[in-house]
Amino acid sequence: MIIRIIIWIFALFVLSRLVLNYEKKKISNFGLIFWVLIWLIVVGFTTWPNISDQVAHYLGISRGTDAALYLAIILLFYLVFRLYIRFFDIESEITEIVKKVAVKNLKKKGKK
Amino acid sequence: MRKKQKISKFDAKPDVKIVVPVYNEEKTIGKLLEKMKKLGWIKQIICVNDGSQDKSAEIIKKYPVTYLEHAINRGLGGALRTGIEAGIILNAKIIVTMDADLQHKPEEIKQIIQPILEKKADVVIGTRIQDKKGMPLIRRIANIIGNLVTRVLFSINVSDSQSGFRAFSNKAAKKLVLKTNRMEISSEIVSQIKRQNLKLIEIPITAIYSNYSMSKGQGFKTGIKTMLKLMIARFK
Repeated sequence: MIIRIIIWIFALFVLSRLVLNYEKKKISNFGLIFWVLIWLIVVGFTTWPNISDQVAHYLGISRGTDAALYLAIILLFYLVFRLYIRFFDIESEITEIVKKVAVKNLKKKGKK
Repeated sequence: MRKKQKISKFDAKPDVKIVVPVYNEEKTIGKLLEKMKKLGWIKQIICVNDGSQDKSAEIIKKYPVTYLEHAINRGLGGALRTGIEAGIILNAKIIVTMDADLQHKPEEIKQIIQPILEKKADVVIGTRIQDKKGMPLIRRIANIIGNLVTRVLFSINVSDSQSGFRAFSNKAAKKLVLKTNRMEISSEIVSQIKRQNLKLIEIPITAIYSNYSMSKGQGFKTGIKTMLKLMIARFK
């Protein structure tokens, strides 16, 4: 029961941060809908565990908790992949800036 | 007849710019530049100091080279991207890239650029595989894996995808779209050769493996990282 309350409080905290960041235009419409849905599912599964069991049976998994865990791992993998791509792009952009600074004087000499 | 043609092309001193990426190479860079100076026909050397913390910069500045500096270390790929860009800005007819660790022989630059001078190729890669004798086992394994990854990810078969001794025609250099920063640049270049439909010729070269050049290569951990980055570059 205590864990349920902790999850509710945490979900409320995350939802409030989401709305705040959305108002500051730090996240897109899609981002807001995606994360609100994820956290509503978390709250729903915690409040009515039977639903998660039914969903789990439908997916061929015996327990709702297991299903939630599997889905969480899949989601985390996806997010790590997205972060890695973003990191890859930023690294490449930094190199592009460093390159432009390094050849800047060459361009000036070429124009003279 | 063919021999005569080669000599006449070198008499004209082809407009070749040599790109040397440098990162903490104080032990070898001076010797390499000295060797290149002795050749007498190289028009311009572009040294890209990739944020070295040793005396590499001091040594390079003693020679009549085009010195470019990265404010922070960006890796082999970053240094090559800068060097190739500089070659394009300086209107090089041919851009040659080579390692600063004395692994490559400057005397072999002639062989590397020959197919481009003869308009038989857009890109030439100096392959170390045909002379396997001196190649340490660990390098040979790394090469096999590197070639395999390049083949699977980019569907192009080359005998030495990781070689740093290459030559590009101006046209080819301009077509390259390079995004990677570190060791993965070698496979990325090979993938670009295929994607941009460039004519590739592989030329056997002599590679000199010293303890120093071996310490500069990529280890197992870097190899895994390189593979991961190549996969992302391919599928992102």
